[in-house]
Amino acid sequence: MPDSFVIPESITVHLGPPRSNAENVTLSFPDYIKNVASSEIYPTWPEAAIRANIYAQISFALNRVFTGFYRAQGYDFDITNSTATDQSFVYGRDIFDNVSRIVDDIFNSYLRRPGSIEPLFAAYCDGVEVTCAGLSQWGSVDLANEGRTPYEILTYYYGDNLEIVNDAPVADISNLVPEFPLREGSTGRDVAQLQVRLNRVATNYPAIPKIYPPDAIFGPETTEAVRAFQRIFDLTEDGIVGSATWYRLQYIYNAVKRISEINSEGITLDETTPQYAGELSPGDSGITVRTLQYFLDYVAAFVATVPSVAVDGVYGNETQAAVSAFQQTYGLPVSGNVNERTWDRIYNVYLGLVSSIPVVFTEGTTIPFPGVILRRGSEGDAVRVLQQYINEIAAVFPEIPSLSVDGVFGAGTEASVVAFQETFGLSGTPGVVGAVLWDAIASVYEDLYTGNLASEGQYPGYTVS
Amino acid sequence: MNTSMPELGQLIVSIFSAGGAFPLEGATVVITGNDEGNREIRHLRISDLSGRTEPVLLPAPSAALSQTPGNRRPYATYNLEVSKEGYFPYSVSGLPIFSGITSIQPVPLIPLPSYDTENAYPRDVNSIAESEPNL
Repeated sequence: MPDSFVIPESITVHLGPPRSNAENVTLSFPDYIKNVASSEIYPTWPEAAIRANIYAQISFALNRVFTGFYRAQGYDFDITNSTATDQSFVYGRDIFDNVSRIVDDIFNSYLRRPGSIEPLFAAYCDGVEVTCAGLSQWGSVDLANEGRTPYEILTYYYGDNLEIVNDAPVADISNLVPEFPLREGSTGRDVAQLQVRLNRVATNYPAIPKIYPPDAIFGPETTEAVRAFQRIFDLTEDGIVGSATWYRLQYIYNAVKRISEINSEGITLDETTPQYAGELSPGDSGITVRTLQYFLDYVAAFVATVPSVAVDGVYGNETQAAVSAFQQTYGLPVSGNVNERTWDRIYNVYLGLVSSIPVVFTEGTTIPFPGVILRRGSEGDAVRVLQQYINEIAAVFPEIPSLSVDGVFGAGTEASVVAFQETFGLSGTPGVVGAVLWDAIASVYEDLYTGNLASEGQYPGYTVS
Repeated sequence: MNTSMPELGQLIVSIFSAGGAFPLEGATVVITGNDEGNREIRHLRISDLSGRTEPVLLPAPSAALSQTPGNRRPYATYNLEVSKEGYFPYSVSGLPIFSGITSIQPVPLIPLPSYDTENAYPRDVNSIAESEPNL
């Protein structure tokens, strides 16, 4: 059981005072803090002052999330950008490079009182126009110029009973955090994972050279790929994977995979028609609602003001919020219901998005879960597919034994499945493949398959068999 | 009042779609000045394979102005127009540039709908007005 608060992967910001009819945007937590830090203070200030301010900004935001301050009041956002109650956030603004690097280092660190899990409600103000009990932004500049460290600046304003929690886990991302740093000479599962994810991102970002084959050994090829990644994403270009580079890679990888996953969901909806079939509203359910949700989820991946939705066929609050957000973003009357005009607009927007993606990313590469749980004793084509996927993965991850692809789920297959679960930190009955485990295995297989494709302009020197 | 801006900041523009899943090559970026004294500035860049532009050096006021309260505005502002075929155009106004600092401007482009029957433009996500705190 973690003794620290888990950092949310993303945060939803209301672009106005709480009760205003403004839009919400959802973005990654590090990107949110980069924006706040760039909006609240000057990047030319001494570094100790910038760091102290950023710790306060992180803690303030995490306190809002931890206490559910706005959600408990019935709002569908975590925080606002109204400086009357929250901190400044200018949607879409530029980010200062030095601020970005500091945030990449400390976004999962926060302030708290010893003995308490709650992130500190770190109030602050500019200290000249407005004074407050809490950090003074201009005061922090003076203290930094006197030579104080960020921690000394923070205790000056928040008291000595203050601790900084460093490297807190991040929701959905942290189950595979390696021992840092990973560098030339490192080997093993963490290097294999790094190489597989870099290769998968490199398929979308061809300036990153592929590591072929991924062999769980961090050599010069891996160093070059890391450097290229760092160059593109404004990280220190040293070819070494520390916390900042690793987390950034996970976030970019998640953005890349999100599109693959939505596309594979679309394949299962192929029988549906995009024809308008009558008004849809809260309470409705069925295949047409599923189709609507699928289109909206696709839009959400491209448009920050439209929230993602579960594609579950039930038109509830989440779907209504997404429909309303779509209508507001695209200039339609905001009703929360889907009339013909809204349906046609959603479909046309969706088509435009899909057309913009290179075809290779819209083709499915894996087979969906066959609907039958596979375990020792199972036999057939589904087992054969499972074995093929695991064998490809075993070729890269040294801890997973390879197996014979014979369509029979015996002791060997079971051992490999268990090894997969352990290698990837998965819970669930060992050796039993249900939908969740199938999807996890297929996802890694998709990474390998897509990651091994050479794209145009790819670093030359190898052929893909 | 001295309106000359001898110091320089730097701007890189990063253009992508789908939350960063796809970098966008070949987008046209036009950077213009927004303040009295820099309105004649005009730069053109095309984004590379990773969706990024070569850095642009832009005049900015002295960094010393930002170190204490009560001085005149310690940053210069610029405007951007980004376009790429098949996507909504994207504009930014009031982009702050500080002396000695590199600014990274993210530009998330949204593909055009398949049939533009409505001619409705998602304005709030394609037209950005930036600002700095009133410190």
